[in-house]
Amino acid sequence: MSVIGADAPRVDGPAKVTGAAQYTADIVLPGMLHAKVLRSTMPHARLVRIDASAAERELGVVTITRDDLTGMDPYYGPVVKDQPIVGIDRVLFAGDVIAVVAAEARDIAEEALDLIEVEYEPLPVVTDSDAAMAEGAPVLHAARRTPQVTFPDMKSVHFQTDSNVCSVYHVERGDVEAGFADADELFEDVYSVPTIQHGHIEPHASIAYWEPSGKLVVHTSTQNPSVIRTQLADLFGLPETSVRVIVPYVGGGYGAKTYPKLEPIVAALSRKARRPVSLVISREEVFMTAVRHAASVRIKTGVRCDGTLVARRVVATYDTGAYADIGPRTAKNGGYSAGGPYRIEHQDLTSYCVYTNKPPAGAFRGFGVPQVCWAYESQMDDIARRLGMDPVELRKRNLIQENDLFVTGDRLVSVGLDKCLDQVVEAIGWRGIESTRPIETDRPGFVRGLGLAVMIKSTMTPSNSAASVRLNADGSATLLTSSVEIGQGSHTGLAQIVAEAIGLPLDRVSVTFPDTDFTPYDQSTSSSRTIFSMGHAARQAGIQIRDQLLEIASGRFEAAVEDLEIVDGSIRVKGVPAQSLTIPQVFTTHFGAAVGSLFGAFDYQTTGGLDPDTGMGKASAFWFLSAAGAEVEVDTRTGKIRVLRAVTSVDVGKAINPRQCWLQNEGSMLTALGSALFEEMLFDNGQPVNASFLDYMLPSMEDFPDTFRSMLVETPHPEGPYGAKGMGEAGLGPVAPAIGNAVANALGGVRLRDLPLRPERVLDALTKEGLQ
Amino acid sequence: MRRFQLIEPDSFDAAITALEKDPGAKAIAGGTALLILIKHGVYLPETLVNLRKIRGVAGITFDPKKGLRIGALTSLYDVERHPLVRERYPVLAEACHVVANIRIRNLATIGGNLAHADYQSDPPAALVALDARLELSSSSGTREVALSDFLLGAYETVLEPGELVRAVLLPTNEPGWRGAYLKFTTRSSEDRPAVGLTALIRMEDDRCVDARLVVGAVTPTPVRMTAAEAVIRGRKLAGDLFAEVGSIVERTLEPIDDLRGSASYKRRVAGALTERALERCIKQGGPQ
Repeated sequence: MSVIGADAPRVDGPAKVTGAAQYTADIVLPGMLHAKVLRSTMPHARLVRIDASAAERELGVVTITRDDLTGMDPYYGPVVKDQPIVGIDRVLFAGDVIAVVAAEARDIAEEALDLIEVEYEPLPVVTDSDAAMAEGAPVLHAARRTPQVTFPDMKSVHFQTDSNVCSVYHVERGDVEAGFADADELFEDVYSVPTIQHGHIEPHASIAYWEPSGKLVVHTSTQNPSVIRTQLADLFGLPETSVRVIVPYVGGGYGAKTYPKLEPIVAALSRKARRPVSLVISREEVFMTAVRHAASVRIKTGVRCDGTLVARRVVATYDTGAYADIGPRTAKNGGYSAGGPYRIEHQDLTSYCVYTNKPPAGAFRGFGVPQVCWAYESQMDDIARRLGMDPVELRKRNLIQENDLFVTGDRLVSVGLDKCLDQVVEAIGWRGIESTRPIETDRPGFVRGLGLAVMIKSTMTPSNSAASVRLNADGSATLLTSSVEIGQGSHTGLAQIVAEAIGLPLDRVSVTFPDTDFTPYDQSTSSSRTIFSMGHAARQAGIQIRDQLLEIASGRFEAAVEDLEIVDGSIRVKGVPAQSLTIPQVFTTHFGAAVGSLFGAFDYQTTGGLDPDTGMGKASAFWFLSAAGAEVEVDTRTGKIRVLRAVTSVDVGKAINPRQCWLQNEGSMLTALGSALFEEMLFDNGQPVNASFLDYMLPSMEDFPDTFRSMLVETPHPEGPYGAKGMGEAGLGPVAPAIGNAVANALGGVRLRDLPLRPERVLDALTKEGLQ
Repeated sequence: MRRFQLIEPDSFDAAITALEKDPGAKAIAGGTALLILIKHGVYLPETLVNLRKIRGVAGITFDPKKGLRIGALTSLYDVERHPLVRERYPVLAEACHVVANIRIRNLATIGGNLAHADYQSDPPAALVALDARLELSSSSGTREVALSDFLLGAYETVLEPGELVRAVLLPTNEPGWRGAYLKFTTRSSEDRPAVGLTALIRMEDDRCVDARLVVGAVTPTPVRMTAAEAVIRGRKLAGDLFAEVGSIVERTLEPIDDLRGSASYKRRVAGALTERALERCIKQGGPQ
């Protein structure tokens, strides 16, 4: 029986449930010191004086300040080398790193922070992207250097140096002005999305030590060990073989653990201390380490009376904070996705990645797309309302289809968006235009509404994933992979793929943790690419082993390879169950005894990339397509929204493990619900106001909709293993606009364009419309 | 977290002695509030006196003459679940039930909740409406203070150094009271209240003969809406009156702006909650 499509239990489940799973913070090395970070209290300032001598003298701690980094280039960054290990001449956000301390115990390190003297000279603060792009704004990064090794897709953005615009992406098709002239109705609105936090359960944590040979070893909670290795090699002038990155269990990331975070700090500290150094940051510091881009999205759309979308111009501005991190790619992907999953003849799409004096924004589940999806899907319902059309009909009239050309020129394959929308329509009980009207309740002041939305998203392209599989003589197999189990269930899915490819029972397959000394290269555990890319490599590696087994058995049986099969670890002649060999017997046939091992290895590269001048090319190896629906109840006396029902439908290509897919959708839904209703990082002139879980709240179980349904569509992808595509992020994007559309329908068309839909904001809108 | 000394007395008197000896020492029971202050560096303790190992200060008893006595170390969860509370003072059970989540309620104590005097909390508004008094103990003896006098401001009480809350006392209620506590949050359901509203009314036939309206979480201490209460007394309760009372609350309340909402927003919410709480009192019937 096939294990593909089976709800196999999580391979990491028992260890996590019993508490046996080891995370970075659980690792204790002999002689290990504990680090703490001294962070800037100012959002933008020149560092006049830093003196850590009292801390070193009085408490015997090891410190790193700018004075310790004079012999090296202290800047790193995956796309732009703009972030120093510790502050050099300036600090660029409140929470920026000024110095780090390592001590025998964490409380000593904490005490030492008070002994470090810092003199600041305050500089003007750039609080948001509008202020950053305004004439005369202080330029935060005058020089812009790219690292020696970066990603091929970063060739498709233009980097700027004379303003706070870090990078620009632009793509166009047709003639957008002619399209607007040709349209019957024009819609132009500005939508906004605030800075939010990932809220992963395990804070960032890293440990480093230097071996006597000069090799740097890092245990770290990261989503992309290969990037950490490259960046550390670059920083410390080492060949990649002299940097070893080991990743144990990771307690969630949602993008916050991509690219260097604490690794450069512990590497520098342990080099000076000549001892292992561990740094585990507090929850409050997590808010200073990675956030999701705030964005402002101006969207103009021209429509014909029959509902045909003719032209769309979008300018999306992403606030990337003090350092670029992966912001240029986030803005690029959001940029070309901003037209939505629609056939629009004329499009003109631009996105900016902009520096401000805020914590660095980087990858966040959905990667730039939820911001633009909020805009285009909200506007879509406004268009339907003005045209007097059913919003579902309006979408169906314009939805992209299999083999369509995307705005970047990609030929789209595996496009099951029609089906996703149909499933949502059915599940939410959508009944045409009448479903856009408020639904009365028997509680005075409470009204209900239905809403839905769709989304398209790309994956990191081009990218590389290599896998190797080793089959032991006892019939057990190991997949060596640098994919990180961050809670998404990748290791269960990959084990299923390898078991199926070879023909083994699932419990005979184990999957390693990443260790760059031993596991093959993988670009990143992000972009929902693991099952598609690593799954493809793992499957091919498994097939190589299967071929070897069949080849050996065919000699023994004197039968053609085509007449053999491997079922549950036994190799047999099709239709002749009596003619079978166990794997140890095959090994004995081959090696003379049940010893040795069989290897398979495969390196999978997706191809593509965009032209920097036209923005055209191949943007994505596969496309995420999804739809969501929601029913909300609005308390019109207080403006409070409750989501009663939520549904999502995602085209997964092929569900390797349907239950894990549903759980991914559930997680996406809950994250999106928080961002739709109340999540928002607040700043007062650059000072964080609610950077803790006391004042920044995630949804709790009580906020979960009364019913949630996850649905899957399977439109097989020709390159995906068994047709599978990535899906971890797919369910997120359409949820917030589905909720927004449900609220608008409940309120007779009152449209809120700024997230989150805080009760006070809703009540103010109702008051403005004269409805309260 | 910095190092500090932890003293774990096994009697209430020993705890008082320890607190008196060291004016910088603080008492800790559930720790759900104090530990956050410590972790955030708002308060750096030298010495903490842990009250959790003290026996005989938790528990709930009822005396028909004196009323209800809740030991200060009783957890919010035990208050909310206790049959005596549910039967005779259901509004207090409601107010304890909506605090944070069950993990917090299992740890947090009623005495600690009141002594901490966080204005963004649910139980104080219900207890002020119920005319709660507190029994305070120190080395010089025991005194009783009305909760409304005990709370001086946000995080401020009349507690003297070396003095601890020993019990919460609720008077025996006359028949005919009905009540409701409504918590309103603007963020997660586990958030502290943006507005908390207690309505208590006493009915004789279909007329209201007495009323208490207390709004919590919007001012430094829970505030009684006396003008609104006066309008209810002696009246037949119906829809028009609810709206009238709600608008008085909205006009007279003077809330604090904070991350949970602006002052003007909280005023509007308090008005709407007043109407809803009164409606619920009428619909539910029953005691208190």
